Amino acid sequence: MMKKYDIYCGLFWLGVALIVSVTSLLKFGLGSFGYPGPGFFPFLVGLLLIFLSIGMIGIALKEKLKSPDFKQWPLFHRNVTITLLVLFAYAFSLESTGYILGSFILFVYLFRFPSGKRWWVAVVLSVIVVATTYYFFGVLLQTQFPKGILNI
Amino acid sequence: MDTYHYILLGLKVGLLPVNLLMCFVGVLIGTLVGVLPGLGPVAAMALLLPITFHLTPVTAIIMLSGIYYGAMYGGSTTSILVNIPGEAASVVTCLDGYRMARKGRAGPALGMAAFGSFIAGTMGILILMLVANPMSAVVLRFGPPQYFSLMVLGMTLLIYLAQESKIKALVMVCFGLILGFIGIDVLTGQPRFNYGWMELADGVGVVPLIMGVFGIAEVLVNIEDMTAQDVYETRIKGLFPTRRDWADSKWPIARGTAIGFFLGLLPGGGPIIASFSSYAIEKRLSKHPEKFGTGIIEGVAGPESANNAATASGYVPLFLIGIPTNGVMAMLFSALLIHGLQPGPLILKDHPEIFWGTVMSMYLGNVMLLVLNLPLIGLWIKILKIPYQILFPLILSFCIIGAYSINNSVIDVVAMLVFGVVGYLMRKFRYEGAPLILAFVLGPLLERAFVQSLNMSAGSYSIFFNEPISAVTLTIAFVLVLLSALSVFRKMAAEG
Repeated sequence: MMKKYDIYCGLFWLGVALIVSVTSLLKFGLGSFGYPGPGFFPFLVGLLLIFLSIGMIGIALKEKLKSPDFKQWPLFHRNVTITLLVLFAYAFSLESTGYILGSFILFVYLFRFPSGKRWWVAVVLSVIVVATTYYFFGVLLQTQFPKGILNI
Repeated sequence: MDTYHYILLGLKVGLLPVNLLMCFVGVLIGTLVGVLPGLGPVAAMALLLPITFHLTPVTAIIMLSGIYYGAMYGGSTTSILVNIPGEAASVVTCLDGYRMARKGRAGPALGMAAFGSFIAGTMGILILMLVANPMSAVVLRFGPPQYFSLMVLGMTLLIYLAQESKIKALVMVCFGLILGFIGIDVLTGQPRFNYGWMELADGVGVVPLIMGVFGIAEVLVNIEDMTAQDVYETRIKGLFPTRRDWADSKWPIARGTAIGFFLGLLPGGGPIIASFSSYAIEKRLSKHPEKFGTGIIEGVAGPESANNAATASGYVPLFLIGIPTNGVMAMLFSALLIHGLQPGPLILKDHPEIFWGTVMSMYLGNVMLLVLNLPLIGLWIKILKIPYQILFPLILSFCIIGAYSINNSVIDVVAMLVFGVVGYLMRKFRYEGAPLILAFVLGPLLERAFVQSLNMSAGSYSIFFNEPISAVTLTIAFVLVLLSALSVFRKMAAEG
């Protein structure tokens, strides 16, 4: 598994390196060797990354196949995938839902599903967390949380 | 002013009620972070950074530093009682600390970890006070070529000392540098790599990056497997080590202090390497090396002393040279910048209260930690029993609020989540976070020093080799690159 993933990683880094190098070369300008332009340093780093990614792929191809690592596989565990989707949805909707409502829904989900608490426990814990964090950060430390549809 | 006057100034600053309070808050949170597996000091500092915007710079640094060395103390508790290190520098304490607890000697193990940490931490601070003034006089003569070479050496050392693959560490350095390029080029004012996104015009924020890579990623990894950890059920009695324990520990503590202080000075060194090195040296010097790993007090005293001494010495390169040596120092470096202070030799001259106030508060913080860690051990054990199912939503909530409150912007929350995914994948593919953060923080400085050096020499690269310090530093970096390359080729040859 590691071998396969190292090849994928190497290809990914090669892609990043090419984008960085080409952008530096064509868009920013390298300047001269003695008087570097804004693209010079990024170009060098991109070049180094190209060598490294090719090296990584080369090493991975030569390496013997290792046994699968349970921590690595599956790449995205179901709990992790769903939690990430919920977190991104929360972040993108935070301005419209507001901190209190958005966070309440987020914590009910987190306590109910990945944590496996009962519904009523999840609701009570979420109320406590949202109220405490809102009071501490919003009231005491004056953090300007988004108000959202509840306007609070 | 001489050192004596600076110490008095530091005491005056450190003893201000607000600084005493924030030092206490810092060490308390640090101990908590150290005790609870899943949130290291870097993420905790990043989380609390926005809160420090309400504080003066010196109070902010005092609090953030408290979190750092507090976590070093707290980390040993989980290592000894649960066999799970609260943070990476306490990994090696598990080997003998947990065995001691199993043998009914949890008390002396916890006691020696706290006393060893206190002695080493205090000694580290004393040495730091003695070297600060003479060293700053030398560092003041440094120019861009010396800075460039030192930063190159720092990154090279980090790669050389990488625990996982060296190639992957180097890839992380490149990735950190690339992330650092995003935004306005400080030398020409030209926007780079933002691809028209206004949100990226100011570059990538260090707080969302660190919180994502360390905080969110840690939570995601733990969500995969939320099996409860058993806290070793024993009545902890006799926290004070016996006379025999002290006799066995005195030299490991002394050696741990020396090793820790030295390794903490090196870029890429820091508490983790220090604790492992101390353990290895104690085992080698011991008359009974076979007993290491079976629950002997030397295996706790040495590493715990080393990681605390390294914590103190990490402030030397940060404050005196302006180069962070590890992820935590990179966080402190960013905190100083955010508070409008440029770390480096001039900080001692222009703002002596920042450096000396922080150093003296560390002394006071070490005393507070001794009081917090020994009599309150029962409380920490209770906290250890909080299930992760309750803990992780709280960690996530602090991360979200921490990221949001930097600019009151959702963009920072999204950026943190994106870096959380990056950090999660880095764990899966065994990439280390420290080289990424350090390269990200040092990248813009490295580029600036490089271009300024060439401007000084009218475009000649000989400037990097004409200056003795720069030449020696670059030569060492070159040798380390060669050694790293050799080790990679040897490994490849061994694998056939």
